[in-house]
This record gives sequence, structure tokens and C-alpha cells, in this order.
Amino acid sequence: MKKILIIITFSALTLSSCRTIEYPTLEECRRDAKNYSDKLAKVEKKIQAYAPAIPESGEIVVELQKKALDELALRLSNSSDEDISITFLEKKGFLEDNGNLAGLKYKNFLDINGGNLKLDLKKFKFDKLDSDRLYGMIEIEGKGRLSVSGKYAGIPASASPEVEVYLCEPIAFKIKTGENAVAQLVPERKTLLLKVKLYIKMLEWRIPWYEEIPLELTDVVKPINIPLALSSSTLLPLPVAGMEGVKNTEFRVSFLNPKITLRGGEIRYGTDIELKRAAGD
Amino acid sequence: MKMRFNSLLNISNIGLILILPLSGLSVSGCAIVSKSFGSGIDQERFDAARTSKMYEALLASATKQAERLEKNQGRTPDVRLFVREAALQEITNAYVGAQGKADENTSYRINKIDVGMQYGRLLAHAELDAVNSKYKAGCRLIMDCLMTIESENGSLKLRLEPFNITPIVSSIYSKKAERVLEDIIKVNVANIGKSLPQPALPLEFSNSFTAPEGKFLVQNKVNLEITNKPIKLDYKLKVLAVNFFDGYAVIEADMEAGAVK
Repeated sequence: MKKILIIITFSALTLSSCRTIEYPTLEECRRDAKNYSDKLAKVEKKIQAYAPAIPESGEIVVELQKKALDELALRLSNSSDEDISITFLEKKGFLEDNGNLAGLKYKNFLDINGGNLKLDLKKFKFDKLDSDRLYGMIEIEGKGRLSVSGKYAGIPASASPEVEVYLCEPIAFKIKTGENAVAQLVPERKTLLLKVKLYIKMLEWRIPWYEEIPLELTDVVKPINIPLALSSSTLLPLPVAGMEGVKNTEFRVSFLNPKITLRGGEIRYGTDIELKRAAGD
Repeated sequence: MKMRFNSLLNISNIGLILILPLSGLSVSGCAIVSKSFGSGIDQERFDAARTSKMYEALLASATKQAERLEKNQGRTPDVRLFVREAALQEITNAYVGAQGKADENTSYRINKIDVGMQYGRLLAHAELDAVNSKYKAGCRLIMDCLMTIESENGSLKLRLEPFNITPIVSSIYSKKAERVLEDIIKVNVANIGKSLPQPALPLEFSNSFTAPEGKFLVQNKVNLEITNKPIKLDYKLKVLAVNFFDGYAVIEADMEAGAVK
């Protein structure tokens, strides 16, 4: 305190003859202000001409181009050769037939003991958007081996035939809001056909086998959150009563009245937001 | 926001602002101290200069935006975020009523923050009260700020640059002393923008797109157990532009897909 007073006294005495703060003249200031203001009005008109129309509802509106989802889907499908695995579970009596050799009746049978396949998600892409759906295509392919055993003409035997599976189907998603108003791609109910092909050769028993196994799309593809860049929490640097400085304080962000619209090549998600201080902060 | 206060703090803290002229008054008289510490200003010229500076800042901000819009005409970014005034107001409301201390003897309270968007600019009007208990002086500070939204470390932060500051001082000293204080505060808080904290918008620019794990059984001519392994694809949004229009801002970004895990 004493130091401050000394500085003040010294400054006051030594600077007593100094001028007031330098500013342009009043006229210069007014002229400059008018000049800037006129130019500003012109620039504002220019900006107005470029202004995109704001969507009708939502304090925050995210407009996501389908091409961005296409890029993500492409990356997903190219990411690995082993996206899906299929395990063939034990199946007794997978194949059976009755034979007759010189009047001697017998039963041929073949059991599946197990087997594993790794499948590649070859293609996962979105084709088009309409008013409430996103249409796409899924293609899956894979190979593996089964372990089979059985009896042919009364003789026990086993084999490990190659099995191939393939699926290529159009699919559709509804776009809905899920928990905490998160936008999701929700697969529509649809039966997909998984084509399974194998050729079994066990002793003299040669069996080409082909079957289309029905799968539910909702089992194969689960709802996927759409990346909309909205965060459910944020840190704000707030002052603290009775203390100097600020403290980062966590706020939970609630999304209210969410609304999704699809148009042209884009998904629009509008929402109001509400901030509440997180518990314990 | 608390920045208003920081203003005082970081520039020359309220305590010091209040101490200097008051001490000076007792030593050498108001006129000399006023000059020494930047008061004694020609009020009309000062206000005209501030107005001119304000228009200059607004013009610079608007011109940059107009050039950006012209250059990017016809481009369709992957993501556009429209942020209405109400959303920003919701964030700034978190600061209303907040209290803190500028220094040992100076406490403050934020009373009001209003935000508004116009072509080429985002503006905030803030009011706060500060009280220095040691010198029994209070100050109401009314500030108009030009706000910018800047991309930093994967988030969008609000930065404020005050351009119009009106202090209203009340003290146990003379009216003349109060006027000196007001002048000094005005001059001293002119460059506070650099030291203000930056609240972030609740947006995520670094995130992941996840295809969840799935497992199900098929019982048919063959029995199958089908498992989808979870796939997580990281992505980032690269902010291309932040533009302000009448009542809303538009943030444009492209999506950059990263590693798949």
C-alpha cells in the first residue's frame, strides 16, 4: 500500500504537466465512424444476399449431407475382412436318407458337429433418401469349413467340407430419435436371405446342398447413432462465489423437441437445448 | 459473463483501479491524478473515438465474412449447423447470477448477458456489479462486446472483445471522484478481450460412429450363431467457416473419417 502511494505521488507530480490522452479530433472520429458505418451497411447487404434460409424449428439445427454418411459407410465396409462371424452349431440328422443294398435296408445320416466362418461386409452403402427413409444395400460374403460326421451304408465316416455364404439385399432405415433425443438409423423389419452352399463328399455319399436361410434385418443390423456433432455435456468456465478465478463447471445438455426431416440429399435434425449444472458440480 | 469481471481483474484489478485515484486525490488533487492515470478525458471525443473503433471492428468482421461467403459460394459442406440466438442465450444464461471475487477485497456479480446476431457479427451486452469492501466503492459495468466463434483444439469457443464500456461508480467519496473513477475504468478496460475466458459451444467435433455388437441365433435347417463385431470409426469435423446472419449463425464443417477400431 505504501509502495502504491509512493508511485502515485511520484507519478502525479512528474506527470502533472502531461497532456490528456491522445485521440483523433472529434470531427475525425465522427467522419471515420460515418465512413465505416456506410461501408458496413453495404457489406451487410452483400451478406444478406448469401444468407441461407434457416430451418423453421430448433434452436440448433444440424444439416448432414448423405455423402458424409456414404463416406462413413464406405470406411466401415472397407475396414476389415472379418466383420461378421458365423458359428455352425451342432445339428443331429442334418441329412438323412434310406438306402437298400441287396435287400438290406440301412440309413445314411450326417450330423453337423460345428464350424466357423468369417464373413466380410463387402458393401454397406446408402442409395437414396426419401421423405422418411434412407435406403441402402448390404452385401456379405464368406467361406469356412464345417465338421460333419455320420454313417454311409453303415460305415462311420467324417469330413470337413467347405461352406460358402452370401447375402446381398436392399435394406431401409427409418430415422428416429432414441435415448436423450439422439438421432438414429433404425433398420426396418425385413427378412434377408442368407445363401448357404456346401458340397459334402463322405465316402461315396456326394451331396450338393444349397439353402436360403431367412434372417431378420433387425437382428443383423442394430440401430446406429447418426453423427450429428451435438454433445450431451459441456464445460463452462464460471466464477466461484467467494473465490478468485474461474472453475470449469460441467453442464448437462438436454435436447428438447427434436425433429428430423429428410429432404433431397440431406438429413436435418433440429432441437432446442437446455443446460443444467451437472450433479456434484 | 465472468469475463466482464476479469476485465477489471486482469487489466488492473478493481482494487488497484479504485485505490490509485482515491489515493491520488488525497495527495495531489483530482486534476493531476486524472491526467496521470488516464482520466480527465474529453468525454465527447472519447465516445466518438470508441464509436469509430466499434464501426471499424464491425466492418472488419463483416468484410471477412462477406469475402468468405463469396469464395465458398456453391460449395456444399458435409455438415451445416444453424445456431439460433436462443441457443447461445441458453449458454450465456449459465453465467447470470454468478458471483466471484476479483481480488481479496473486490467481489462481483454478473447481472445480465444478452446476445444478438446480425449480418456479419455476434454481439453481447453484459451488465455486472463489483464492490470493493476496503474502499467502500461499487461499480456497475455495462459492456457491449463483439463476439467471435473460433475453432480451437476440436471445439468451438466464444471469444469476446468489448468495444463499448460504461462504468457507473458509486463511492463514499465525492461525485467528482466517482467521475474520475469512471474515466479511468473506461480507459483501462479497453483491451480486456485478450484475457477473457472462452466458453465452449456444446458441440463435438471429434467423435466416433459406432456399429454396435450383435449376436443372435438362427434355428433352421442349420443352427447358426451369428456375431457382428462392434465397429468404431473415428471421425473429425473440420470447421470451414462460421458466419453470422440476422438472428442465427451457420457453422460449416467437413467430416474427416479416421481410423476404424
